[in-house]
Amino acid sequence: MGLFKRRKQSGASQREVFEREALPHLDALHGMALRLTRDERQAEDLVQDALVKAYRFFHRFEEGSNIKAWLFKVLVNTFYNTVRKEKNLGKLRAGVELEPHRERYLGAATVAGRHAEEATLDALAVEEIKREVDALPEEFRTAVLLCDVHDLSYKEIAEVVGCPVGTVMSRLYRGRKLLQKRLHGYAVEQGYLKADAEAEPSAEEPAQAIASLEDFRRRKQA
Amino acid sequence: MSMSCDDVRKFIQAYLDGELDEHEWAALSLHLESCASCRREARTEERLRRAVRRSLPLEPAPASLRQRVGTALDAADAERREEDAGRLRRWTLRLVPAAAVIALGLGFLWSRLQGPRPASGLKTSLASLAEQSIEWHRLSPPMDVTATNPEAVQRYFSDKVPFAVRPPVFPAGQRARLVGARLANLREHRAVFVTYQVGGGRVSVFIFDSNALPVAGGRVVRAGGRDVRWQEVRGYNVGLYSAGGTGYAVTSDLDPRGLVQLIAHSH
Ligand SMILES: [Zn+2]
Repeated sequence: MGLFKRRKQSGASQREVFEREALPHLDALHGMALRLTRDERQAEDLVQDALVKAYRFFHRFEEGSNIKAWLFKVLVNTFYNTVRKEKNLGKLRAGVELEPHRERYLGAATVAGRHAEEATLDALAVEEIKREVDALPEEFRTAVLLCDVHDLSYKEIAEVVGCPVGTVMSRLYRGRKLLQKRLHGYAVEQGYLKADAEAEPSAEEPAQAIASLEDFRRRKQA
Repeated sequence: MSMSCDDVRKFIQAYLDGELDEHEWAALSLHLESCASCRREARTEERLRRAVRRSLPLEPAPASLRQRVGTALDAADAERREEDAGRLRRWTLRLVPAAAVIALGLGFLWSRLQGPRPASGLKTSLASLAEQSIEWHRLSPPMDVTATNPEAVQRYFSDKVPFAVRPPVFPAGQRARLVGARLANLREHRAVFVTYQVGGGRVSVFIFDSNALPVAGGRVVRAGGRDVRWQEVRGYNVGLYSAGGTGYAVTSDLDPRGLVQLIAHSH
């Protein structure tokens, strides 16, 4: 009987176990929700919905596995299932296209030596970087945030977003290159970098598409 | 195994994300040592990561959200109790058609379900400090400054916190390497969070003003002429000591003996 089973665990109720395990990740979940929804009110709703859902399904969570990744998975799924439906999909997709005014200088601008560019990344304003992260296509943004901000492994990210590890690698690659390209464009516009004939960073994948590590390892064995 | 520039470009992100096995890692490192253009690529990638981390630091969620979540979980609990009580009522009705017994049984169960939950605000401050130390240690948040040199860290924070930040220096025999540091809050006080690589593991240290934040509780042990307060939480060991008005809370996944050794020989 579920009624008794739930109370049985050595002294601690399910609620206590859940709070102890899940709530330390509240800050991280809120941070992620904020970047997914880009709206404080919606972010809080999303976190609340996700945590209640996680609590309801907590018995399905296997003890010893990574609770943080599991919570992120519930959060991202909840976002896809609810928030995104409510939101104007067109508005959310806007990040996919480069804003036209930016396109102009991106076309003309190029790097004044890669050294200058490296230093520029360190000098860029936090707000500008944040804006460009927000402007990334949703799939890229999710992968980049989970990896760079929340320190999830490729395997955990694959689980959170429900795709193969190879796809995670490809999204990370393209997301980061795109980000680099846009930040570079901004730096030129602001005069941090001068335009020059050298090649600008490209968001294209190398000639051969990013293979998964598994493919690479298999190839190495052969 | 040697790698081509093409392979390196493809896997440089996996390299920086710590996703390669040790052979792949070694092969890529070897290539980077001899190839300036891939090295530049790696540096740019690294800086991009740093820029993203810098622009999106882990910030505390609003207190109101924590409250809302608590209320929502209360509601979920209440809903579940309703369901359970409903199920029990149907079940009891089928077996024992006596209203008095049902009422009694329900009353009993209800009181059990409503039973008091132990208060969580009773922890000593070392225990709660330990909780936060462990959380940060586990999260390993992005660093404000990456430096292997303690003086550089001290300089960086000299105008940022109202106390001297002297990252502990661990004995050479421990293969401890300073990784970086960032601003933090302990309770309402400014603190600095420093991380080290020690052997194969990690050590994190919160440095704070011990006059502003006196800490009680824990077990006291002597190590290297200092009193170290000790707390073990969820498999992590947290050791706390103070020197010259500065407090140090050291968290690691080392075993307790290793951590005591480390603290005893730090300066
Ligand atoms: Zn190369």
